[in-house]
Amino acid sequence: MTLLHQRLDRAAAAGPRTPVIQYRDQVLTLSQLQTCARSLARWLSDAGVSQGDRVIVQAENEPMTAALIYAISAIGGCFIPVHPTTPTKQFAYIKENSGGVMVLSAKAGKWSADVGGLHINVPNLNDLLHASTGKLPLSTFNPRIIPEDLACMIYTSGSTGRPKGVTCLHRQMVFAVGAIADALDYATGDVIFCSLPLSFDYGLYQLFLAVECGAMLRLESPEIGGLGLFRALKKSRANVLPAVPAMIEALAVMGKRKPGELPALRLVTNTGAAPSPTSIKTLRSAFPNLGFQLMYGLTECKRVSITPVDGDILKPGTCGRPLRGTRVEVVNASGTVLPPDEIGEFVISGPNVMAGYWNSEELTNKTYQTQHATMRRLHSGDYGWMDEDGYLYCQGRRDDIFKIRGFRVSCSEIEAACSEAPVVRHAVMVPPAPGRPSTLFICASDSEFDLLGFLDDRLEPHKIPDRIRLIDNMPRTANNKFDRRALIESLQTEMKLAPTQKQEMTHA
Amino acid sequence: MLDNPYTHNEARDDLRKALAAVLEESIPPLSDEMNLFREFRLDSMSMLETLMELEDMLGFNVDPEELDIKDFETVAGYSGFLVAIKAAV
Repeated sequence: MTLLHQRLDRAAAAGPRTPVIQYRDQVLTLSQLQTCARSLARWLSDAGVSQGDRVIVQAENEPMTAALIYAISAIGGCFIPVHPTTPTKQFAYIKENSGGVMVLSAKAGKWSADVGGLHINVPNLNDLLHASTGKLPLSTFNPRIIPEDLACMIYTSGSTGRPKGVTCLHRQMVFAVGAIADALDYATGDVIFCSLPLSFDYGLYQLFLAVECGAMLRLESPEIGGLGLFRALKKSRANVLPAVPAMIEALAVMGKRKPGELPALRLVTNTGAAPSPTSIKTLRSAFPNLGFQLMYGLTECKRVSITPVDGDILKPGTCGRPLRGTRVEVVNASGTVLPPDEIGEFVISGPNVMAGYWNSEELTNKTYQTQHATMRRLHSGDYGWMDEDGYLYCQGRRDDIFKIRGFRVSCSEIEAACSEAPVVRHAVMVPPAPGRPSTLFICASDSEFDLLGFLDDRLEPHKIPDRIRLIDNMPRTANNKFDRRALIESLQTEMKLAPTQKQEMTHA
Repeated sequence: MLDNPYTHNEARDDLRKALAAVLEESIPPLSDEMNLFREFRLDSMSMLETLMELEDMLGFNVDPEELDIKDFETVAGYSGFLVAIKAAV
């Protein structure tokens, strides 16, 4: 049972009529999802997808995305979920880098497959449900798949220029799903509210967790954002909300006006970055029955740690304990393992550690380091400490990566995209901080050039800097490198001169 | 006697002021067809901040259950929402 689609087979055999996906007024049972995936596997196979092929799915939050994922898995292919609004240049890069043979995307609910520029309509879910493929398990579709095979690739920001395809094998994903399901308080019959995009790995894993736990995934549009969250959540009567910090902040603003009015909601899980303790406190007093599970992870191993429900009350600031069967060590610069409470880099070992970065040997070896030529460990690049009880506390990164709305963004990626513009001579990115918007400093030969429009084609919206500053000379360090610290200091001085009146939202 | 009713033009200008406060930059006069997400790169959080700013400026409190993201996409939609909510205060 170590193939991703075998987990769906197992669940469908145990409870064929258990609802697993809800979208608008449509509900799919486990057996129906299995049938759709099976018919789709046949269709994709006829359209030319075979074992080992990479298939890109523009992952709309629709049931078809789920069916496609299991169908591709059943063929022995590798699905690559990407956000539907991925900028064109970045998408082209992912397509080229992965060697994807097919791109599946939807326009107004109609799915089509692009194979070498040729567009073919994908059958709709209703037709798939009634196609006569029989009720065979997905695992009989291609019996030659082994747990060591590639199941999925997720593109994520690396510390250098381009996004990297984190390569995930069946056994690694199945382990991660099982270990996360054990640590999270998801229960049979739960309704999971999913407005996280299915292209984001925590959104994607909600599907696998729903299948694993016998819960129902309620797919919602990520567009509802913070403004529409309360209304949609209440209407959904969901029990579980997987969230990123921005959602928790929005819910706190809304929730304190409607205390007690989300009676069905019992659990919020958080990933991406640490949520604001003020917002959590607000939510706890507005909804006394609501529990929280704070977590930490990175795509390179999916999940590192999970806090037991409300464990953050006893251990403020924690991001949880390592998954069962995995180990987290805190090491210093020379690789020595540090005792409790000392700060170092988190290094992860265990079956959750993914295979590496697709076609990028150098970066793979740098991040996934092997000791004694045999023992492979993931160097997370995240720093923090572990207490006596094994709880982790994240402090942040030491490289140029920062988090915005739960997404990892690297300064060099933005700078690299920017330097493709012919008018830009130098570009240095300064990450945001409380009260300080993210700012890109550039030296350019033409001040009229539409750099924002240029970046729109190359970067996702959350990577676009809040402000762009044109300067005459880029400050440099003694080693003649661009001096980001000097730029940060100039911004801080500016802020002191013109103190902002804006307060933290939750205090408004 | 009622005060003069709050007009669409006033709402649009208040929206401009709120955007300026949230984005911490000067915002040119708005026109009705502008899409706030695209034009000002607002995301759902800065959208919410803008709404909170307007609540403070204009003295109203929204009901979270009444909020529909569709009302806030364009300047016209947002201004219409403000006029309606001011009329109800």
